[in-house]
Amino acid sequence: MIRSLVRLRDRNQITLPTRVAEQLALDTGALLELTLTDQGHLEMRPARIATVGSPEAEREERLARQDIEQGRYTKFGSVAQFKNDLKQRRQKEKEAEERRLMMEALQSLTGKVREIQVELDQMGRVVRQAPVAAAAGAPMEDFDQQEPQMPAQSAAAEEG
Amino acid sequence: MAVPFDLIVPDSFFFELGLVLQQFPDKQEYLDAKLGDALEFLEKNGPSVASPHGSGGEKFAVPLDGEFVLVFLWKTDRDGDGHPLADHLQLLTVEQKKR
Repeated sequence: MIRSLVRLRDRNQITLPTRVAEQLALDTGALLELTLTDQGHLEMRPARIATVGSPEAEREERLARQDIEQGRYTKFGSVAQFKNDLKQRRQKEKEAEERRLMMEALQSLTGKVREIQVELDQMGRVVRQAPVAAAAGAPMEDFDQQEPQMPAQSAAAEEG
Repeated sequence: MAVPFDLIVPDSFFFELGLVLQQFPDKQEYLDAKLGDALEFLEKNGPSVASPHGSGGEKFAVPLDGEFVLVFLWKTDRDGDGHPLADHLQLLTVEQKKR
């Protein structure tokens, strides 16, 4: 048995310890099943499709019966109602997936904007420091070597 | 005469179906349609069209396609004379056939 402590990070993320991932032969993209038990325990296992007659299949059948006994089910008056419900679920899943992709794109864009801001800040600092250092007698060639350079017009405008 | 019918779908069935569809995303529409067809067939014909599944004699299975089967329970409420009052189709799981 392996026991590990993991710390919850931003957006509820955790990292599986390497040896746990290795022991279970989990690769990037692997699906994991999380179960919050009635006792408040969080169980995690590799999510695998149950094969007919396997212990996983027996477990799934047992869990389904438990769900029914404990009222965790949806009752439909006809198969047509069920099909309609399934269609609505798929539509919601599709919309959730689209939102997730949009959020990812937005986060990526925000990251790039931040990088550009940092670069611009650095450029501005170099330009602002140049006249001060020149007045103090530093040779101008030192500034010629600093990259990146702002156009002379912008620097003049900033001073004005 | 047909008796009242209802379909009971436990939360874990939706979970299991979701797992299958996550692993086979290109089969989503196909499997949803196959599931709908199988259920309509059961609603119309009862469990006699299905095969017994496992031991105990209360579980049944119907193939969804060449790879997956739908496992379910069929329960019938009866009056004192044994006449059917209502049919309940309770879904259990979607399972992959052994290869």
